[in-house]
Amino acid sequence: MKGLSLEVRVGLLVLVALVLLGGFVFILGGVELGDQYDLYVDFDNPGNVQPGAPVNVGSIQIGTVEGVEYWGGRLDPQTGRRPLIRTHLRVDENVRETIHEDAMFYVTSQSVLGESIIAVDPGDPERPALEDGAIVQGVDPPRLDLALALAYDLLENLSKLLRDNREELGTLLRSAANMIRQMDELLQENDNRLDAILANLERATEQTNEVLDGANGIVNGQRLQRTLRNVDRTLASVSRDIDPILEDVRGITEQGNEALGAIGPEQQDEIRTAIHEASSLAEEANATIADARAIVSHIREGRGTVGAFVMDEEIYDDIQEMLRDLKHNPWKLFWRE
Amino acid sequence: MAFTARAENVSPLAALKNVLQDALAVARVGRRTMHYLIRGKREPGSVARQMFAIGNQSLFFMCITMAFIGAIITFQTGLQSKKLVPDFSMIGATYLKLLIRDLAASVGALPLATRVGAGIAAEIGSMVVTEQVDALRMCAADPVDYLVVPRFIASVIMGTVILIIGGFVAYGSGMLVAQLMFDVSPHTFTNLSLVTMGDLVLGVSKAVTYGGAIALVSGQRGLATFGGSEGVGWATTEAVVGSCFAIIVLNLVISTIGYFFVPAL
Repeated sequence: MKGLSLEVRVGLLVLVALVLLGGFVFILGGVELGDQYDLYVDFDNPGNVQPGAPVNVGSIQIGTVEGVEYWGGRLDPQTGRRPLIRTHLRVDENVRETIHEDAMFYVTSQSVLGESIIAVDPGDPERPALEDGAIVQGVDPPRLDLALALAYDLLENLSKLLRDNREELGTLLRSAANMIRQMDELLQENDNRLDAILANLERATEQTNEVLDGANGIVNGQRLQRTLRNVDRTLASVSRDIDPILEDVRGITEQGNEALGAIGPEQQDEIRTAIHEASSLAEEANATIADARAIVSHIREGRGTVGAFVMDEEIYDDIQEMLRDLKHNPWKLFWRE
Repeated sequence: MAFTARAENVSPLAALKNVLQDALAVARVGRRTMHYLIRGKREPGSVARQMFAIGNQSLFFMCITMAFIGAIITFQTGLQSKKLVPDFSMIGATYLKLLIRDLAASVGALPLATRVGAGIAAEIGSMVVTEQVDALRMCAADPVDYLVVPRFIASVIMGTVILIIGGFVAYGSGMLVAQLMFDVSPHTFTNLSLVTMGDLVLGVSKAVTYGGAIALVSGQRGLATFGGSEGVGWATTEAVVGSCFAIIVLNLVISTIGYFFVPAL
């Protein structure tokens, strides 16, 4: 330094200061060293977010707030929304593929007394990434001032209520205490009966469980399953055959209509008479069928001689045993005491 | 100079009157300085010599002073903020904002005024009592043009330079104290999130203004010297006191203007 002239030494000092100041301005200006893209986030209440505030994912800064614009609820034809405040974010290009369509943008602060920042939850990786210039709706921060005002109002009303109804509330509390005391006495007096009621209730519950178990067994039994399968098969068969049958019926109906159109009044009377007779005959046949059903049912239930003979397996076994015995001892047919 | 009470038994009203008269005298020197700044001719090397005296020769003193000031401010701020919130994450950001907006310039200008103001007043005052200034006048040369203007230019430039460097030194020492005393890492301490370009403009404006004010007040006191070597002593004292007072008043004025045009976040 001693070899340098006075002017050079002064110039060096000025240069150092200029470099320091220039470097600081360079950093403070948020000079973009990499590519960035634009995102716009609408808020109704963006808190205290200011231009230059960081945009973070977690604690990592991925961009900055370029501007905060007042829209005042004007209709944005591009989105169809009416934003109050629109923030313009400049986000690093290298994180573009990680900020997805369902990303959440919300306002938070760096610490208790820190400045407001915009934090980003990047969203579902399966969804497409947000495009350059995309406009999204942000998540408004909670209005603590509003919450406090409402809480204050609530407390004030509560306090007024307590103050204005002090006597009524005292009476209410005394009545409640009296009621609780009486209920306690009642419970103590009927202690044994309550035990019995509870025991009965428990027993009834157990029995109900048993009944439900039995019902479950029936519902899940093989017999019902077999019946349901048969019904299914029958329905399938009906479904398969119903169309040709309907075709036939339709043809018959048409033919009948044609035939009815061709017959005269006397023949119609005869037909009516014949139908009447057929109807009577059908009623008698129905009665006969009902009787037959009753008889068959009688037999199925194993009642009567024929029923017992058909349904009682013991008789079947006896007859089988008798036949087996006769086969081995045919002389018994002729033997008589 | 009214504050130094050179005359005995000065009433407060008379002292206030003296302050206003001194302010007017400084304003007159300032007007003539501006005139010669535009129309005057500089002696080759005169400004560079003054810049060296004001800047380079003050650098070590200012760096040490600002380092101590930065360390003390950070330590006291940390101690007090610990009582309020157990969170030091924003101490660096707050300190940096305060430093850039006000402390680096205003606090740094006070020791600079003692170092530079005293030098200017003593030098010009000695020339006055040894009648060198009268010789200049006899040669039809205005002493403001020859003596005050080069010092004004040098003080504006180098005062700003020294205060910028002093600000960085104060920030560095504050960072060191924050790390050692409060376990705040330099990375956390280096937080520019609260600083705006307006803060920087305000801080640099103060530095430039204080540099000019020190030169004008000290030059005026030097030119107003009378009474031999004792008068030079009084002029030096009055220059330091007047410069410090001018810095405080200008800080109030510029901060008030900044409050409206560059509001703090």
